[in-house]
Amino acid sequence: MSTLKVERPTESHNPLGWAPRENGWSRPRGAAPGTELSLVGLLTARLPADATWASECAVQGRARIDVCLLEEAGLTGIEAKLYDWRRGIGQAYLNRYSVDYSFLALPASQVGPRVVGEANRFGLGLLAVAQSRVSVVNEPELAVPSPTTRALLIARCSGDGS
Amino acid sequence: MAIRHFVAYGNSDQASFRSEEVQGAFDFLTVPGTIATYYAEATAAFVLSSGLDYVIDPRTPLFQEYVAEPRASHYSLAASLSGELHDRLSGGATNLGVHDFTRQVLEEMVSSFVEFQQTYSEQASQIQERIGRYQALLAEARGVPAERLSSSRGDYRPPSFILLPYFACRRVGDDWWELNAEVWRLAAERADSPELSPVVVVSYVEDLPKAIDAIPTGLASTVMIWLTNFDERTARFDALERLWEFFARGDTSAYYVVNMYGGYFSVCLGRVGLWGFNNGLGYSESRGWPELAATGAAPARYYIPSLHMFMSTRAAQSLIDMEPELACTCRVCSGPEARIDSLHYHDLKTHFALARKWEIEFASGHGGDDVAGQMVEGAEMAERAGELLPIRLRPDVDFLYRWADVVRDAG
Repeated sequence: MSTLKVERPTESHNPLGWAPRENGWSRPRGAAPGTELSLVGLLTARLPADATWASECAVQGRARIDVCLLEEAGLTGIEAKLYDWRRGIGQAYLNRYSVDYSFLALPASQVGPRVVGEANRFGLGLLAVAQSRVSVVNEPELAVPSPTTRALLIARCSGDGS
Repeated sequence: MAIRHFVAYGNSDQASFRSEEVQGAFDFLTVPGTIATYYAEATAAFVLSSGLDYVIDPRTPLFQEYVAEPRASHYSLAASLSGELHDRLSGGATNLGVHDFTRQVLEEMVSSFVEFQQTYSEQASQIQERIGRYQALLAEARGVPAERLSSSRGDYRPPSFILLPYFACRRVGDDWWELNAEVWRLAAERADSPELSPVVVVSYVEDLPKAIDAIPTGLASTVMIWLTNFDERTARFDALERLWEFFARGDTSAYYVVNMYGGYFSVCLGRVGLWGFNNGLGYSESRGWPELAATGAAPARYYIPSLHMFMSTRAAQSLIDMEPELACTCRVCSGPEARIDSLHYHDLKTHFALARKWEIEFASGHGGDDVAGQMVEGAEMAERAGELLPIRLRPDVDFLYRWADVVRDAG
């Protein structure tokens, strides 16, 4: 069981150890993940070995966050979508009510200017996932989550994280 | 007089139903026959100790046509309806057709389930200990001594109405309809027929006049209706208008009609003659057939009273963040720390009950133009707020314009 102390962050932060875009973003090469599960698998395989995280985190009602990552800097939620990025934007937007930083993760092949624009508009992080790497296309803005659901997710991550 | 609100009982909602606020928001508790027969003692103890007016829904359509995987509660209900029906179900029957419901089976269903309802309160003497436990829980929830509860004085009410078994059907005159007609004929022959309420089921609004006309004389004047192909929020304007005119014409003036599945549009129908409507605490405002078996615990979702619709809690919060005028002002929602996305299950239920109470008071206390105006104003606010949200979070409020056109035109 982790004893990680999580403060409410006060500034923008790239909570993931993945490479941010440099001089613009270029689409990674390699086969796209075939299922949402494999997309999540690719994401979590690239988390730092000592990361505290949990998948399929229940929020309220039937809502789930695909991956929650807990760091001292804050709580990050990742919504993974294979195809329907508009739906993913909506769900990642709602995750802002539960986590400090909300990302949408898409196969790199699905990432284009429109989804980047929408992610920017709604303060969402955007991850491009390929077999070879995960890239941060857009950094998220700090959200204002419900203290209750945030605490619930932190407890979930602390208890089930690997 | 405002429309009567019937609310379906569910085991997971027991705590909510003990709340004085929730109890004050409805008139009759509707107990599903499945729950009444499967959790027989516990349900009776809860219902009888509550002091609430109630009815028991026979839920007979559960046994029509495809019965894929009957649950334990289906067997218990079947046993209460008919030994032959129970035997067929226990024998592995998965598709019960019209021919399985012989006159003998129908006779047994009518006599057994009418007696079950008529004698429901008489079991109090056998379950006193359990009733005492529920009285203690109710008294604790209310913060009053148990002696002050009406049930502690031995005031155990029978069901307010005795509902006859019924079958879902598509059109007046089809094979399942004929079974309903047979049930009514059998009931009309009984000495207690004036106590027995028919349940009228049709798929389409246009069949309602003929269906109501077919009720034989001599039965109770309280009638339940179920429109299996009608959802207030997705119904086309002409279906809504036809339903409105059906009541406005006075075709049902001889009856006290209760819509078994309805929401705010049914509340508005109370303005033109619908006597009552039924739904769950945050669910079951419509029900299709043959989808009746697809039941279970209601999802945790939030009812936005200004829009008369449900949304997921976080989606509702996001919409109201964009347009605070849409926010509910009930006791649950108006606390200083209240956030929709932090509300617990029972808070959501209590909020729904209070919201519905507000809706009933508003619709009965204002003119048609005001009722319609509130709908349009809410819809316009939601559309403006939705523009600021991701496209998939924008609420579909078109139904409010359709409702408003019906309510306004009718005055």
